[in-house]
Amino acid sequence: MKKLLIFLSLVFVASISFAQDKRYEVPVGDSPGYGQANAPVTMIEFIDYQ
Amino acid sequence: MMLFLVLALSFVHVSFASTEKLEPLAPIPIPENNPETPEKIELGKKLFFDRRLSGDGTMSCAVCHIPDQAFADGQDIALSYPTTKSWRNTPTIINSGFYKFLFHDGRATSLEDQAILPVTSSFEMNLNLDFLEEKLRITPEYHKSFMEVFNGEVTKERIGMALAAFERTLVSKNPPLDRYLRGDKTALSEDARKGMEIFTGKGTCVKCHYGPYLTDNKFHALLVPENPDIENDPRMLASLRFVAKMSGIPDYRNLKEDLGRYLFTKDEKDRKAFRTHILWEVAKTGPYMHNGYFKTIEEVIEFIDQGGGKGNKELKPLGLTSEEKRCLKVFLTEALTGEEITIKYPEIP
Amino acid sequence: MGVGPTVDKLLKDYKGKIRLVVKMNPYKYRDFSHIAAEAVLAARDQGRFWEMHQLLLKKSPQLDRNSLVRYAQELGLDVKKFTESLDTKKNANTIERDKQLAISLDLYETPAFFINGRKVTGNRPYDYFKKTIDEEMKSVRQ
Repeated sequence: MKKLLIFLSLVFVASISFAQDKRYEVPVGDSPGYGQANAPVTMIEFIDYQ
Repeated sequence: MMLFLVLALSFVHVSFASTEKLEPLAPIPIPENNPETPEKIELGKKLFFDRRLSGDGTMSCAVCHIPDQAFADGQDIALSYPTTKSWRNTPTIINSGFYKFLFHDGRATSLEDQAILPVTSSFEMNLNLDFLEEKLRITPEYHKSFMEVFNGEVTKERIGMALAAFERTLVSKNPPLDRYLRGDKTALSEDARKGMEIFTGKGTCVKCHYGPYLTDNKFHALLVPENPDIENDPRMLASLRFVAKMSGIPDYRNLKEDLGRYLFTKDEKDRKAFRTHILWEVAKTGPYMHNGYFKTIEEVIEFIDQGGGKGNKELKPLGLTSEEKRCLKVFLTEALTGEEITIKYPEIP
Repeated sequence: MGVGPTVDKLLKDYKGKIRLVVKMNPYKYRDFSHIAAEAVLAARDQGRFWEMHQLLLKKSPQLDRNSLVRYAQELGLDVKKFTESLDTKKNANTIERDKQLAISLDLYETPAFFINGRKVTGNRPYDYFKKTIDEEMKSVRQ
């Protein structure tokens, strides 16, 4: 019973996925930018200059 | 005499138990003067995401009430109109249809009234409502929608009504506590159940956070510290003093603190009092309190456990053990979080 | 002012570890959003994207056609090619493709960022970006 409860609580914890952690597939394509292509963090900005 | 005392005490216990207890989610009340239709909700949804409702086209309701972030923005102080800084935390819209009072200080008494006020606020959407009427009227899709939904022209009131109709559809989906209270005894983990017992017992949380929406719909002055940006960011001070001025506070020019509901009622008992928050989805709607002072739930629990802010008359120190605080946190985060609310994004005219 | 200074600081503080990619999402109801996007892509075609990008952010909202041509002059671009690019809407397909991508991602505002795919919308303070970026750096290392 205890094992079941531990399992259930782990499932609950795992299912609380906050949307900020949701990852979108955004293709870089040939869009211009700044910085090396192999940088660990890619920040894609959708911009309006005005 | 003894028998009388025993009976009297048990009666008191029953009164406490019957009003201040946890209850499953109840349907959001729909006002008679603003019935819901799918077309009205869709119109409200369009307006909600439309940056046309701001002076320079940068802001919409959804800029601060972000669907992916539980219809809040994850900031201590709300995102603001360019060059300005707001002075309070963005509350979630989820379940807001249940509040009797809107805004942290409760100055609005309906979703319809609340929905259009940020449009006019200089540090939020910064647009004149009379001008907004014309902006919407000259847009054929909006003119047509308003005619169909309201059988009449675009008006400020109808803009508020459409927005409110959309907002009322945002409710928590199957949070574990709701399922538990409806009879599914496996819905809560052991730690969450322990936390629930603390919530309704030693923690005394249920004294203000009770009923189907975990709020007493009242105002309390817990004396949360002021957000340090009041000192660090003059733009925030400008917003604070602006609101005080518009609220008719004589000494607004020297004001450096958030007077809460007092700004609206001018009643001393409301000084620094803020609305009791609905706790559903609390895990996703930090930072916490009217000014986002607490970044984590642990900090809030600590604050309440210590008896609240210095000099407050609402809370007493609780003396929770660290294990009790941990279980309370598990309850708050696990039991009160519903499934993700996904919406179909509207096409904006 | 916008989020520009914040992004600049992020690029400086995370130099070598962060890469910025810029996609166009001009707002239908702003007079110069589209032509400014054409301008920055025209500059890109001449290998001068970043300088034009910075200049446009600095000079905004003065982004009418005449001003844009002046900026191209300032940067020493081939003005004839640049002007032709604007007038023939040479990069309209790229802009439309970026806009459609924005719609498919349910974007309803600018600026909008995806940090290793994690969505961050609006003009956020530096610390908010930093928190997300630091989390990504940590998880990428693992």
